[in-house]
Amino acid sequence: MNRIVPARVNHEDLMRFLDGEVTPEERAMVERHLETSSELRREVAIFRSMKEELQDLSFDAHGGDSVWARIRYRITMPVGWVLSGSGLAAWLGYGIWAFLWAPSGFWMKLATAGVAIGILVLLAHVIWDRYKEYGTDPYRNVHR
Amino acid sequence: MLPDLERELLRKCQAGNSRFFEPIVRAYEPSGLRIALGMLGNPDDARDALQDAFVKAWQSLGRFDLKRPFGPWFYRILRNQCRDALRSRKVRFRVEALDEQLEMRPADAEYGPERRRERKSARERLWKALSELSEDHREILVLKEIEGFRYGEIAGILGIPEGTVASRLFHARRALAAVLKGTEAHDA
Repeated sequence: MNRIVPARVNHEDLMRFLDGEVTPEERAMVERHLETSSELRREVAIFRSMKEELQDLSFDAHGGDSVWARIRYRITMPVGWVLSGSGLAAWLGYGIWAFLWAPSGFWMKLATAGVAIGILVLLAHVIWDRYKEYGTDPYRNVHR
Repeated sequence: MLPDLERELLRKCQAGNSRFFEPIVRAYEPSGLRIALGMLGNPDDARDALQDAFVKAWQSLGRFDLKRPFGPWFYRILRNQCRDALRSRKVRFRVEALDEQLEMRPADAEYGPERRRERKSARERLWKALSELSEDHREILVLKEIEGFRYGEIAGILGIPEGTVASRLFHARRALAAVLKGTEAHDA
């Protein structure tokens, strides 16, 4: 039975032929074209040789440490932050409530509040300075 | 990994049990690293992208449909992560760093020093040519030639029809051939 052969092989069929993703009929069709077109044979030869070279690029993907340790740290860390954050907020709330309702005198409460607020302001200042420094640090991406 | 085992592990991960995520990470780490290395061309950036992709996969696991395979879904996250890294312009292709990662194949050991040097130089030339391709072309060549995925799998990872995979592969191979031809002409 004579089959109608298309005038030329399209790009998609040529790639599927090269990568072994064609049906037997499609393979036969491309092979018929290859027999008649030296240009197509040359193109297939170039692609085949490039394909072999690319497949030769291989990595030692098993070398080095697994990324799991760092991933575990990152996926379990939020749980720790949520728990310690909630605990800290509860203690702080209770502390403020106990402080406000304590029977101490006004001046004692004012002095204690001054010390506490002063420490918090200093801490915020240090954090802010560190944050600004980090933005301009040229060595921040260097792993120790 | 067996599909049923993988599904069971993922079901436990969805319930929030992070220790069942470890076998998943270890199973997909080698292929993920090869893809990220091929895309980014730098072992440090590839490891960072891979790590970020696994963390994102963990965070999105609640939305993952257990009836579907994990691989294509994860590789898609990884591919997006690599693209973001490339867009941030922080990553740089480092052929000399890639060379350290190149596996010494058993066949290499059979060759003499001269032949080994030739092969090494050919691989470096190929890496350099790959680095000059567009993201679209490089990623499809990495998925097809280095990782050996079939068209259907590539279509799933990239979210494009199989016909487009074939067509994009054609243009990627033509672009690579042109770059390699240019390099040969320059070297001659």
